[in-house]
Amino acid sequence: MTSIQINNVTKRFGEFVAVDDLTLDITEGEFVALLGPSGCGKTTTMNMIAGLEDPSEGSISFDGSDLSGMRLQDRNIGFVFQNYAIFTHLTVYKNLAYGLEVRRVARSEVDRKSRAMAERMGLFDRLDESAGRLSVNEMQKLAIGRSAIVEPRVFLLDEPLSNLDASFRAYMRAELKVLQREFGQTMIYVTHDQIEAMSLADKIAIIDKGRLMQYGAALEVYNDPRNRFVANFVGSPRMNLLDGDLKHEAGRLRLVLAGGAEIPLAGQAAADFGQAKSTQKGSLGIRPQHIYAGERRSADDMEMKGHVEQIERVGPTRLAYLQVQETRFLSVDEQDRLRPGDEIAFYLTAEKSLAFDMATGDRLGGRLQ
Amino acid sequence: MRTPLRALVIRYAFVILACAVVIYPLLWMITMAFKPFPEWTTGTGMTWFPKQPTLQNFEFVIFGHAQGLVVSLDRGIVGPLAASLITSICGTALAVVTGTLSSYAVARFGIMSLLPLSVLQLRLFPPLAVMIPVMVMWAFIGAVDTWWGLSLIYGIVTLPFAFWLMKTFFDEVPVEIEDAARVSGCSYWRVFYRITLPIVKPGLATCALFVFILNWSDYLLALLLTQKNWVTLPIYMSTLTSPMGGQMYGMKAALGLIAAIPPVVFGLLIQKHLVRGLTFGALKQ
Repeated sequence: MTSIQINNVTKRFGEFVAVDDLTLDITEGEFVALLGPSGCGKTTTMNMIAGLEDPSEGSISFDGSDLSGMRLQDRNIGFVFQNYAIFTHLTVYKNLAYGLEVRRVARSEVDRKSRAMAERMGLFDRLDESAGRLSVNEMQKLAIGRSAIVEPRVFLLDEPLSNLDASFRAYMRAELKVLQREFGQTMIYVTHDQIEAMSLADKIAIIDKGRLMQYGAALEVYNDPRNRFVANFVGSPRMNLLDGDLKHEAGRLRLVLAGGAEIPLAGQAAADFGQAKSTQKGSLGIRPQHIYAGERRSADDMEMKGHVEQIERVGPTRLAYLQVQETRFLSVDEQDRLRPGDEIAFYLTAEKSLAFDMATGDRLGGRLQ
Repeated sequence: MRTPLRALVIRYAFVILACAVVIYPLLWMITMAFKPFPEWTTGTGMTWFPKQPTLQNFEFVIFGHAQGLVVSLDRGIVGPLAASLITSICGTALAVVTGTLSSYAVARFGIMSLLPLSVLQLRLFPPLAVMIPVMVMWAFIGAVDTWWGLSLIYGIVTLPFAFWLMKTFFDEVPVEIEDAARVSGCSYWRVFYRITLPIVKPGLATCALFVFILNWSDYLLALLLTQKNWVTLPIYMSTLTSPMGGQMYGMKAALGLIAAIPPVVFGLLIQKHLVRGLTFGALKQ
């Protein structure tokens, strides 16, 4: 097992900065997801770890020893690409055996390992077929097997599931977790799908425009986002982010939203906004499951009045779109009793509300419990 | 649904016409090759198929003379055939090898971004425009009327073709496949040799065939750069005229048939790759 240290790495392509002063510490045996929108620099980061690209600045180390100058073929990396990169002109067997043959492993050993890996990946009866004739799903299994067979120090997966059909993707997600436990290797997983990242990774690094936004355990990132970008990006359905002007009046703090709707800030939310005196424009973040209708559950919860615009069913969950003047709140209708057109009062759970500074995007106030 | 009969008739008429345009010259050549002298022209009336089939034409072009004919040539087919084979094969090898390596360098590493255009420029010149200086240069280095002199110019003239064709094939190969091989521990050279080249093998075969046909059918360069030691088949064919300047159609047709054999055999040998090479864009991504 190998630990990875990424120290102040910057990568420029001409004028364009793909990765901007990135620092990450990955403990041995950890499963880390690099999460971010397309073009945020995740894949470039991955390519630099693999050695396909060199950092413009900074350094990358394995187990504390600097990789710069180390040839790609000496790094011992397993890399699974988004488009599989299967050698379609070779058989399944040859694909699996490739890495071992390049490393001049004894033929009997190559044979034994290739067959065992084919067995493990469910490709045993297709060993002699041309790899180009496999289905997309099988190609991805082959790609993973081909990388795993050389027992790499570090396993890199670049959006390996994004081309698969939905049911197989769910299966592979579970399978990958099992494989990681079996191999016991440090794994880095690039994805733009936050559900994938949340369900697979021990830790998630959220990246935007080449900069690290937050790095932490999946739940920590979800519950305690450090800035507005992370709050917006992580979680499904998405967090409500209510932007407005902060108004102090008679010792009370209100958030005036565009269109005139007002949120009477209270409890933790009021305290967080109140701490940062200089903040003029604020953004209140609250997840849909923390907006409820019916009985008020806590004295601090912030009351709003509006009507039900629309109901949407996502699997077993009912999502209600609640309209207050020009602002729309997304809420989870737990009790299944809202109907479109209903005029209702609903509440924002104060202790689950997050405060952000609109100017910087940073989180205000302390850590959530 | 009613079949649009008129459209069908028009479509088939066009198809038949197109086939006729392609097949007729071939048919003409094959029948002509077996016709004796009196049937060559329409002097005795049009003949579609030889009335008295003969192998005399073949005998004449192979040996340079034939029984029952007073005219003879100073050479048979062996010399020109060997000359054509040697120079075409060497020229093709030169163009394909250099074209493949250089186009790979440009396609993968983006070095010399202007190279593709300047290579294309070579193709834009009418060959005749540069032939005088080339002749002087070739004379200077003693390359006139040598197998290597002709092979060299063949390689140079067809290089742009090979370069551009191979570049389109290399552009089609996903870079991740090479990255995957490199991560597996391959050096650049090994990746090229063991992964990329086998993937573009159909393209390589197609490219070699096209370049070979270009070289094989060249007349101008061979005319200007050879004298009598390295006479190629097209030049040999031009000598098939009677002393009074009449065209020896039967012999020319016979020679044409023989000359068509190598490209056809080459094509059959790589037939498996040819279809893939011509439809290469369908590579599984």
